[in-house]
Amino acid sequence: MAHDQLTYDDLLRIVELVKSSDRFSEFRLKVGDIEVELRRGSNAPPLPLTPAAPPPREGRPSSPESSPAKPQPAARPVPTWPDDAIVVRSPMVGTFYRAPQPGAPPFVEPGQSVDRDTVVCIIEVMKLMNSIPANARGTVTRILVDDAAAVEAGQPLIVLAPAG
Amino acid sequence: MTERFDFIDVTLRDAHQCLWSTRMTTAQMTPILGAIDRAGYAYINILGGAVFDVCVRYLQENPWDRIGLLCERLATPCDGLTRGQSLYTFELFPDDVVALNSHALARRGMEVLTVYDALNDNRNIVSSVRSGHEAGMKVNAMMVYTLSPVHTDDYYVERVRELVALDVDFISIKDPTGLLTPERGRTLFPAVVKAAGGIPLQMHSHCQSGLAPQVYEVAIESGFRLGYTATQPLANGASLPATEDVLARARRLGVPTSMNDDALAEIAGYFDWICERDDKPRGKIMTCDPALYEHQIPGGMVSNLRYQLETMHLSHRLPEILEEAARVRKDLGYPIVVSPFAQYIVTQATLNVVQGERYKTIPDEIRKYARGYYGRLAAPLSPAFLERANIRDDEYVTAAPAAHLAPWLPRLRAELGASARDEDLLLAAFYDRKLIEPLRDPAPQCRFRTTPLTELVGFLATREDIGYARVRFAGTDVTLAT
Amino acid sequence: MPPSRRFRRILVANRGEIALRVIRACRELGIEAIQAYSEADRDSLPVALADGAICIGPPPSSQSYLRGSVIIEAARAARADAVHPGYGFLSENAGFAKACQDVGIAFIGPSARAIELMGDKATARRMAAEAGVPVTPGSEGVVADGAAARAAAAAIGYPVLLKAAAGGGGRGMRVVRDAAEIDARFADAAREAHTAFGDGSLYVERFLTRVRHVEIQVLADETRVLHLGERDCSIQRRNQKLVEESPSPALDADLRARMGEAAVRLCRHVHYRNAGTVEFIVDTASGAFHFMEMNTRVQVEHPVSEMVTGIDIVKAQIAIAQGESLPWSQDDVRLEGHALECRINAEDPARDFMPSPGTIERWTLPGGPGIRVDTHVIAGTTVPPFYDSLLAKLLAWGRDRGEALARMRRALVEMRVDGVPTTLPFHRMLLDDARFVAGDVHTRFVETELARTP
Repeated sequence: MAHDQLTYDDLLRIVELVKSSDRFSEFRLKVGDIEVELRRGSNAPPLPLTPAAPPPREGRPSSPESSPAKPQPAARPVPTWPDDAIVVRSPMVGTFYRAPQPGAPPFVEPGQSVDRDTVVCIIEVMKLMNSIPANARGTVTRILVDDAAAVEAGQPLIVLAPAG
Repeated sequence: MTERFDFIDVTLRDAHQCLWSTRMTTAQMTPILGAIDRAGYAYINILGGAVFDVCVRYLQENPWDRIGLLCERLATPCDGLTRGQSLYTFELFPDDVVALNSHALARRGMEVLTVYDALNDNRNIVSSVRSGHEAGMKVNAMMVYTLSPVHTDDYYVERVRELVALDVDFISIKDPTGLLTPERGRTLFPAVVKAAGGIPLQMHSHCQSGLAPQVYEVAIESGFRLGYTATQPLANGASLPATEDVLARARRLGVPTSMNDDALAEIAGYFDWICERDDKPRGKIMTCDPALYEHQIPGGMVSNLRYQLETMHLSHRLPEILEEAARVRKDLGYPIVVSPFAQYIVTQATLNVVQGERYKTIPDEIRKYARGYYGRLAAPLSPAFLERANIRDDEYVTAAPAAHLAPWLPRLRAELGASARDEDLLLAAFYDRKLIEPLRDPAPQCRFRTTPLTELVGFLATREDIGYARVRFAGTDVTLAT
Repeated sequence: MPPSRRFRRILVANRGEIALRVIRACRELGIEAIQAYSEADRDSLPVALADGAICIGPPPSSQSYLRGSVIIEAARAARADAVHPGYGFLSENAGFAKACQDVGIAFIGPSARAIELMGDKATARRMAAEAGVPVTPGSEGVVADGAAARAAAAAIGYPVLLKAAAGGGGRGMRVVRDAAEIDARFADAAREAHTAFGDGSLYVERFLTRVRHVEIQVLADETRVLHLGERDCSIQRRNQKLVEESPSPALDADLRARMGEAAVRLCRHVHYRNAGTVEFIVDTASGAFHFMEMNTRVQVEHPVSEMVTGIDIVKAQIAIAQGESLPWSQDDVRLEGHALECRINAEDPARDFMPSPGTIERWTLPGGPGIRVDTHVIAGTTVPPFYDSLLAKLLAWGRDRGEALARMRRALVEMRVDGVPTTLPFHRMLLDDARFVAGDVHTRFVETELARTP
């Protein structure tokens, strides 16, 4: 069906594709010889910037050690805690889980006291689970990350008030 | 066999009157006018009774402006249909209003005036024919086809003779319910062609029975010179046959035509798209339902009836009502089941069924009809009806229906002022002042060109969920981004 | 037999190197490949090279590659005739296979029934026994509790292995050396199995040491089952394969034929179709072989068999799914030469093989005679943390094992990766190890002996 102009038949088939793919936020598919690429909502690619700045990547965890020149993603509100607080940080990039498995009670809740060996969360990397111990005695005051959120190496996860 | 066969396009009028409740807007028409002009049609039907009404009541468009716009933009001559003495409504109008209408149409560029009377009482079209000619238009007189013991071939031959005497330019057979069959055509069509002398015959039949395309073929073979057709997506079902279909038959018969296939394809593609874009129905080919020959109610009317019954929570009684309609028709002397009488038959049938007693209530309109107010009946009224109607002898009307109507123009001119334009006088004659007020607003801009690519861009722009779209083919690469 | 159904379009419901593998097979067959991808893989090579692509969700597998209903909808939106599930993800999910079937989309793999039968480890053992395939001495089906486990172990003989019925990969597995520890081990294993697979059922097997892991590749069409010889996968760490080779240094022609026939018998018994792998434990001391489990999908290490047989397994999968007959008889299948595969993972061997996602800055691939690299990675690829750590499969073929090893050694030196730590140093060390070079290894070799390199 090679031709120079779009026909009404092509148009109807493209419209049918757009409608039937309603629930997909982005795709690149062909209708006959016509290639249709579409992105919906916030998945629309960012507009091109001036050549000096590399394009920001929205919504994806960046790896700080490998590309220091990249601008950071939209700033998260900076959490604060008392100076003497102990912060459990992620040793690696991965996915943070609050509980041993979905539906199970979380490892720790705010107000709970922990010992050095108490497992406070799991960081999953490439399908391998890593139990993270508190490495300190104290009480959990804040949990900074949502369950199943992506985290970067060094990212603060849980704040403890040190044991008196 | 006819020497050549020409086509009259109903896409911009009768097609959507049957399929979309007449809701096609001028804006939907204008982008395709160029292609319609290139298609090779002899005439374009742009006006009919319902169009006026819908423009005024629902679309808030000034019907005169639409007529003017289309006649101006279309190089192909335009054709407008009126209901004879009833013009665009179901009331009767005096001759002065009918004449004013003919002149107003002509002034806007209409070249053919098509008229018919719902009872085939040709006294009701005389003033239209005369004033049409005076205004410089050609006149096409239609005879309405129906099935009944009295509507024989001879009956129609007599009607043709009356029309020949009126010196009309075309004679048409109008079959609003698709009742014609090829068999009937084989006797009827040659008879009317012969009786017409040299006046060209036109075929106008709807597709409720699915037989219309074959009927057109018989018409071509019998010597009909023109046929009313619609673009494929808006053809069939309650609408008329597809131009493409009848054209193929004419070509198979070896009859010369003037149609351009590319333009027809563009028109069909465009309206196929419009149906999708604006969520409008396409015509669907129907198979022959014997009940149709009983109740005979024209296409659009059945769907309107269904809709009205739904609002009254009576849709389950539709089959009963259609059956009763056949009986009512017989009782009333076989009025042709076309507007306005189709509505009267349906209303009376609904009343008979819902009230449980036949002719317990008889609407005034039907009494007027029975008295001959609208014109000569084709056959006598039945005793079942007469018993309940109680029409006095002196109530019967034998004169021409408009004969008793005094002219309206003096009163209208007095009301609207001496400087009122003819078109405004006519609108005032047809409608309440409240309905006409909104028409003064300027009409929205219409586009006169479009392409599939333009439409695609427009479509994507309306989809708010889409933030980025890119379409690539051959030498084209289009990107839309918010 | 001409195909009963020719695919115009296949939806690739996987990612990484196997997605690219499937796209390549489609291209060679003139079939359009539509890549289903998560947001994390938007800029990946498979998406760029496919004929079309459709985003099926955010990065986590559970919200994208594991969502069968979304994948099927994507297949419909893309008008695909078939889905190739790759390996992992939904490739052995009987529910997904059936769901595809229900909507008339071909699932390129075995039937849902076969997946179900062979997916349950305990049922699979029973099928093997029924087919006259030797199985590791073990319990008949699952054992309900510690007491039942103890009874089964008494009959089998210690040491025994407690294994999860619902899954593998080393999870839900415990070695039990004597009756005293069986209750505690049972509880441990059951809990771990439940966590990993949602099902804590266990069965008991004799624990054999100094065994080799040798698997048989099978291909089955409507009427026949063929085997494509073996792959020796004894080089493992924590039950994850690191290196595979074919033929196995431990097999002679007689053992190969017997194992091949056993695998074929098992497949016939369960009416198996399409590609699969039957895994065996081979007792190096006695030369006996025992059925372990069957993988009802194409496997990571399939190219090893492709290189020694010359048969394109993925194209064969597609052909079988289209209803075609395989054009070879068992006699046509011959192992020529020797092939080796090293899995290059984004893991740091110096830090206990810790997975290390990141961005690859330098990526230089080896080449030359007998070298094949299957990878989706290019320079600049950011390895996401959401999926497995496989970067590339490096393969070497030679006329004999010696040449294959020499070529692999060369290729390992040519390959350079900067940006993330990889297992390249480990493979280089392994290829120099005298015991590996002599072909004298077993499944615990890496964990117990390689660490103690003199």
